[in-house]
Amino acid sequence: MRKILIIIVLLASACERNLDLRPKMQVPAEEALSNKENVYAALVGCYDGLQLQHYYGRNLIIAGDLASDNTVADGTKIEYYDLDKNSLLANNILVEGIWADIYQAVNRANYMLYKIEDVTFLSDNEKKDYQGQLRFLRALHYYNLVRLYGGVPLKLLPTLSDSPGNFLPRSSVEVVYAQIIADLDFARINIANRSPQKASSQAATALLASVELTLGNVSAARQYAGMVIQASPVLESSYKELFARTSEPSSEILFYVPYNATDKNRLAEYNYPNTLGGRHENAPSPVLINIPDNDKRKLLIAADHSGKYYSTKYSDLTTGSDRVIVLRTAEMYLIRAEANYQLDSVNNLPQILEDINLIRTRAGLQPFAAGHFSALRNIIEQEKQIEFAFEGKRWFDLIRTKRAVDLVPTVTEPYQMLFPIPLSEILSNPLIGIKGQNEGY
Amino acid sequence: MLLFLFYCISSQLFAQHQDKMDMRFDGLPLKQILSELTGVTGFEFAYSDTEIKSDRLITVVAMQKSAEEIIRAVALKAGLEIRFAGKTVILKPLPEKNTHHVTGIVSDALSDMSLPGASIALASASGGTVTDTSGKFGLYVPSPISKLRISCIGYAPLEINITNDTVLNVKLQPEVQTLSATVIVAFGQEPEDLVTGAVSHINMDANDQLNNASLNAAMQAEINGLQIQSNGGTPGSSYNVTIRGISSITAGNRPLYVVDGVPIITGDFSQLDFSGQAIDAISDLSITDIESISVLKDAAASSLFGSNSSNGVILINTKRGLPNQNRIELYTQYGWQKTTGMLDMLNARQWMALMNEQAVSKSNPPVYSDEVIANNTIDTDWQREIFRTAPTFDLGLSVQGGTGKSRYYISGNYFNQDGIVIGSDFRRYNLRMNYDFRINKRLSFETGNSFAYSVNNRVEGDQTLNGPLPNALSMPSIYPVYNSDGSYNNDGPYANPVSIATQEKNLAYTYRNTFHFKVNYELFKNFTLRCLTGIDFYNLREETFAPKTTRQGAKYNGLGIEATSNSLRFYNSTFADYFIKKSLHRLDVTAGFSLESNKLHDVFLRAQNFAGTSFEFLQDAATPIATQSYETNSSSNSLFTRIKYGYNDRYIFTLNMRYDGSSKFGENNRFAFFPSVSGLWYVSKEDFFRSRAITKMIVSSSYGLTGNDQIGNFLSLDLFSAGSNYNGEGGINPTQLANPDLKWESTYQFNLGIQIGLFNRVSVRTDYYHKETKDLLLQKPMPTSTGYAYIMSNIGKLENQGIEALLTATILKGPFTWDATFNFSANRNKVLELYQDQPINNIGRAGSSIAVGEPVSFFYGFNSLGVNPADGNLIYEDINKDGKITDIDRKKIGSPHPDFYGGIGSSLSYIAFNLDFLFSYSYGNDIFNSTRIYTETITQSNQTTAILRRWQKPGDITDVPKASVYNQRTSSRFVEDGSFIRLKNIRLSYELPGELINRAGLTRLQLFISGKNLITFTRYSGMDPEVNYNGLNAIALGTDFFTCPQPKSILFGLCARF
Repeated sequence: MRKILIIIVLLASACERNLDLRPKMQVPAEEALSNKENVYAALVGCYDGLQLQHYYGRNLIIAGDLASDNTVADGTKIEYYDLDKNSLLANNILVEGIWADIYQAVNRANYMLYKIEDVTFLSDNEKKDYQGQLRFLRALHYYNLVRLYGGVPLKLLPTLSDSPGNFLPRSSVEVVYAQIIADLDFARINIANRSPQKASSQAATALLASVELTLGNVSAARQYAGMVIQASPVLESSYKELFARTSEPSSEILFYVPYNATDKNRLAEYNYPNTLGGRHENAPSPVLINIPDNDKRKLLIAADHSGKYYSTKYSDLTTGSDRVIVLRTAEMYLIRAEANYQLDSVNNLPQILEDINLIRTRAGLQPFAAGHFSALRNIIEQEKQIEFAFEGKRWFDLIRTKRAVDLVPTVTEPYQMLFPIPLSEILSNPLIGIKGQNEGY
Repeated sequence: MLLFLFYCISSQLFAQHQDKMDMRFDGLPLKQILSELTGVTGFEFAYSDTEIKSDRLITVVAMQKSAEEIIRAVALKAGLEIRFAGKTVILKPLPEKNTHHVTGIVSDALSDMSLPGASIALASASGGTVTDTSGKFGLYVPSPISKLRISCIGYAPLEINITNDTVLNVKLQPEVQTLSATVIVAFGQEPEDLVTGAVSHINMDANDQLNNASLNAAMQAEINGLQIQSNGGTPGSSYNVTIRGISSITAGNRPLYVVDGVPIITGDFSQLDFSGQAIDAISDLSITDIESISVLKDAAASSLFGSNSSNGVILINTKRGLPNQNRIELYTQYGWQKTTGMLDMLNARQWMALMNEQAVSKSNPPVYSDEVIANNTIDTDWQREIFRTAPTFDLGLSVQGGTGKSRYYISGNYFNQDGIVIGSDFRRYNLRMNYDFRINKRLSFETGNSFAYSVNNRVEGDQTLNGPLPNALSMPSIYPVYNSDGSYNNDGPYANPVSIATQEKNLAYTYRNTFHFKVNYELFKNFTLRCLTGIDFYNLREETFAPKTTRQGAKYNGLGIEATSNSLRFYNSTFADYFIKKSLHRLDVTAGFSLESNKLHDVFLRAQNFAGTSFEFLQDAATPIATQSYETNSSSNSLFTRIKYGYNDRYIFTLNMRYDGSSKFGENNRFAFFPSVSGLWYVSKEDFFRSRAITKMIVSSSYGLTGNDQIGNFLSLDLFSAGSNYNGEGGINPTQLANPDLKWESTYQFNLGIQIGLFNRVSVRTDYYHKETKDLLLQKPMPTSTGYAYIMSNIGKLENQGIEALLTATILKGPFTWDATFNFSANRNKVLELYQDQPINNIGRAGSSIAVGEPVSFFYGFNSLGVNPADGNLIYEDINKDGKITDIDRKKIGSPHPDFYGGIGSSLSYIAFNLDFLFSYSYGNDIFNSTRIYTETITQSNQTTAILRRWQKPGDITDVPKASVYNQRTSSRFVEDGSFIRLKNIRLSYELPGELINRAGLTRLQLFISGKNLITFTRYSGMDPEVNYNGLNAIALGTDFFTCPQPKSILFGLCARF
């Protein structure tokens, strides 16, 4: 009997060790950033955050058009219809998903920024380059958040546990923008330049131009846009080529999110009509369908397949490898044109026309001559609408200029220019709560 | 209704040879019987062959007898005198001095019915007889003064002194206890009546259950408290089994399955989304190999399985060889199946008229001219194109037998079922060998080894845009199946259902090997050590190919997937049994420990751009898309003990304790303790209890704690994961926050049961139970601004309480017998606490919800008050009266939980004919028919004929609104009463007379015809009320979404024994 007891005791102690299993698929967080290779992999993971499905992986791009007058919902998913009608509920999948995915990307960047401070195996320059890239990404994330939702919780530290200390209230719009500008200023100076699927000083400057225009700092916007144009003035000669899946991206592209067969986006699938194997959730509205046929861009914006119109900017249904362009030089010309218009529409006219006509001639259209003063503002706006249709920019332009109320029939109240704060955030974050909801929702 | 008698020695025979055993020798030579008895009991026999005529054929039945009693029974039967001399028994013919002749009749003291087969023995010496079929006997006794001992199975033995009587009328008092069968329980077995916990059990009769493809089907409606929902009618598809209600929200509700003592791998390992037809690892077990099943329902019965026991436990023992019964059994059956229902869809003409009306109402010209309509020749009934009459075939062969020292059971089964939807079929091959042997009196071994291979040729079904059935219902009749050149027509708005059913390959192969090895060693008297080792290996390989000629394939220029899941479980339990018996006291102790480790390895490969349509393997594809592998593991260790004290088999008290550790939980809560207590009072054994009507009355009760650890692995750790790749580079990122406090879900269970027997004919068992589950493993929502949506935590509470009743009755006895059973279960499920009591909404296609105060997963949506005759839209109830219909205006619009459910069965037999039938029923449950969201709202999909009643102009009063997204919302419009009563099984059999078949070398031959799901009464408008599109998800219940209905079938077959 005693022997048996001894055996049982021995086995019981062996048992305890047997329970300390280590996952094979994952790494405990404390070991994850312990060497140079892992830190690089974690940086890659931060870029990967851009590819999430509610972010550049699909829905941010779709939302940027669907909320505006560019596109209409024609598929089966109710969340797209609700966005198209600008009647969003706080639990709309897009409202929830875009917020959650961007914040996941924010947390990845914050995690790295937090840990990289203590890393000993990177040189100071390497560290600064890393921090520059991470702060560029974080600025891009917050720029998207603040435009869609207004003032948002400004998380600058990673979430390391579920303690409520990690919950933040909403910051003001101004505070968020101040952080965005600080991050971009740091990024502009510290990033080593590299190919456009990664952050570059160039991209940071271009993003700043957009941020400053949004804030109404038109001269700063003009200055940054001009810097980018000066560094890379050339537009791709063929508009169509911009979206081709060539091995090298066009030199016009300043920053894009790459995809391949294993990291696919489903934009083509969501844009194509059913009869071509797509879902047609995001289809061109009559505004885009009525673009004159001589505009070369029309084929990419409103192609016709037996009466169903669809965009072919993203055309890889099979593997979903289409690039998603975030920033390209053409936008800089249009930012400069708009800034010039606002600064002094009379004296800047030649420069404005020159910038617009660069875009127009590429599209095969007649350049504008002087004499369209009264409509100039609309011309810049419209040029940008067509040039960037299906690239997810229209909605942000319309809410920046507050023109959504005029141009989007379903936007009848100014409150509709912001998304609601997601219901899940309101319910689980007592620092926001029901009182923290955007007005009107 | 056992058709073939079971010649059964308890499988624990060797281990418990000091115990009582069952033995039956059917017409065997005396010599052989004696040699077997030597093997089993250890007694040697000394005799002279000629003196005792040892080649005589003798039949002896001894149930629950000790070795000595069995030997006496044999001697009595053979008319021999016996003398025990140590371990030797000396046999001699009876001396011929018995001169006094006694005759008499033995009968039941209560019913006065005569008792055939009662034994009459001389108390002082050997010798005796048994009563004949009318209960009569005649016997010579040594002298006028003798003592006779009269006994009969099921009755208390009686001793009578004979003085000068020559005629005796003996009345025996029924003794219920000895009638009791044994039931398998956790780590052992117990007499049925003396089990203190709530256990339902069935002894499978191979021939009865033939027309069920898998185990779960066999239990459906035969055991109360067990709800088995079929998820769809595709072959080989899984069942959703819950015992006494849903006790968990996110950590599975699947009971633990234990086969021959080894907890086996269960669940769905499929990596492809075939939701309504998930593959269940339990369906690899061949039903004909099963000897008995116990369902452990309360804490007392199941808590010895600790952290795996909250959802109840299903114990299964497979058949084992029987000594001296070498025999071969063959069964086969063949049958045809059809769908239980179809929908009434629009034909081509109705469809065209509808389209025209729609066009005209929008001021467009009609789509189809009168001429086109008049000349139309294409009117495809897509349902008829994809449904078929499908054959099913079953063949099984088993060989079993052995000696006292070694026994074997070897079986092979082949099962082939074509699906009622074209392109689907299921084949399964099973082999099993159970081999038991005994080294000496103390040491014996038990082994079992089974292999199963199955091929499930599936078609995509529910929930997918690519399934033949959803497409067949959605495709208007105006499109033909084939073009004039014979190719598939793909002009319609949906994929051609026939094309996808026949051209797409969707195969799932399973390879399953289970093995167990058990050593029993009697260390000293009444103390036995047992060590059981089991290995369960499950491999599921899925292989799909959609050629570019199909719509899905066209999208990817040919799409192929190869996915493999390997699951390996190692299990060991080592324990000891000890019992001590002093006069009327008995103490049983079982104690030991168990170890379990699991490893899962998955591979997923996907490739596109295939060379042609006939090259279908991945190397034929130009573009690899996904190349993934995945591995995870878990382990657990346990200590357990059961202490059972009984007094005179009247009062029994049991204490179970289990101490469990699991790798799945946080380091602060890695171990937990699961105790339970239970008691039983055999009221009818009390002296004060004298009732002619109530022949048995037992009250039992239990209270205890059980656990549930069915969550993923490593959920308590702070982790980084790989896979966040970008630009062709591998990336990592934080994916999970630590929760070192993560622990089991705990369920506190109370049970009160009463069992009553009336006139030895009717038996009723009723149980009341209450289960409260706390520390529910739920994803606690985090503000997503933290970068995480949730963290796995222990929050929430829910309860189940209910009543179960099982009534069995022998209505008629004699040449015409009629047995009936009725079972009834009613469960009330209620969520008591959630995270900050926030409801969890929008689950599945019914928008189901989980909210405090309501049952899990009730239907939550808008309340439709009918169609507004003015504008044709539904009027939704404006709950907050703000004049707008918003999300806040949703409420509970139905519940998928039945008020009660169960089964009604009967077995009638007359001479060689036998008729069995079983109805199953469910009352008060609702079904959310989300198919109708597509088939009753005019889009490009075909519609049911209900649409002909739709609102068309102001003033129309109807129940079908006009087509609009507004009317498609999740509302009570789509909630229907899902109550049904269904003739689950009916079977008529005839057993051929012995003299006819003996010449062919057969001992028995039975022919039968059976039917399944032949009649269904329901008000449900869908194809089948017994479906659920998302069956493996416990929180998306009672929802129909283009779900494949179950088949009804007719089968013919035979069972033969050589």
